[in-house]
Amino acid sequence: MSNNLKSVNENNETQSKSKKFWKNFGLFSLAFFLAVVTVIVLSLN
Amino acid sequence: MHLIEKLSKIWEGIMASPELKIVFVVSIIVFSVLYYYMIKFLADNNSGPMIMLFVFCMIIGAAMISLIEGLNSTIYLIIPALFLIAMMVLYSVELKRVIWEKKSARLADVRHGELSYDEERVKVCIDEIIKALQNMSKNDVGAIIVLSTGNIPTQILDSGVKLDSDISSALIESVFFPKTPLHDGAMIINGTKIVAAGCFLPLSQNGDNIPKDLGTRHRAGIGVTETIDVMSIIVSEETGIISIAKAGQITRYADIGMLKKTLTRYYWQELDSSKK
Repeated sequence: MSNNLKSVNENNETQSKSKKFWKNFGLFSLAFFLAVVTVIVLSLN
Repeated sequence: MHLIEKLSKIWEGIMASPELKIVFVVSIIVFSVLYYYMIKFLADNNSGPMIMLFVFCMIIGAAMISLIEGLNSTIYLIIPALFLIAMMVLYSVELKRVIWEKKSARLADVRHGELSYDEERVKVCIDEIIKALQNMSKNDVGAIIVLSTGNIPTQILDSGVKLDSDISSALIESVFFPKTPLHDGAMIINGTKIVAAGCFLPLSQNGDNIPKDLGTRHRAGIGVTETIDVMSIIVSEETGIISIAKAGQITRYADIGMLKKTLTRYYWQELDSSKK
């Protein structure tokens, strides 16, 4: 029973790792965009 | 066109000077990291509208400063600063939780031995805990058991008595038997060991979301899960009802099936992932 539990857990873990990676990528892209906007605005005046 | 001229002047200036290039890149990296952790914190606490408001304010602020002549551009930094202050005020409980989790991942001065994943031993632990909960529920004995992954802060452990003993239903029931010295606090379990008993837990800060008929014991059981990534099982002294709390939410009327599922998940998923 523990093997079944472990393989279900491993499967869930793989899927959630991929989801987590894309979520973090999206958040970092947004942060990068805002950082570029900030630096450009600070350089304006 | 005026804005575009300004931007192309800035770009030419940056390209002409290596020092400015470095400053430009480093500034972007620093702001990216800062904004990333702010936005990630909000995302982890299901605050999508706050993220959208932040992005909206940043874009509108950028537009205003670029279009209005004579405005000092450092004013723009007020927007992220205000949001940071607002986050610290609105999410103080969640921030405390993040700090405590990063601060201590192990128990102080308590050798809890190796976490064993021997199926037989885990099964015995699960059975003993469920047996104790059933007996205490039947006899209306109040109890709080916290299932930790070695992440309980030392302040909480020090408030009780360290036991470092194997899990048995007889011991659990003895600890919570009315009028015994340790019956009034919480029991902390880490893996296959009872780490401490009689510990005092922080009460829940979200009074509005808790049913009015739940007392201090339930509020403590919920409160500890708001600030630390643990689960707690609560037995009501008045009704014998068993409840399970996690991440500030309580599920009442837990039956044997739910308890077995919760404890199995605790041993096979949460302890497994905390060891990594």
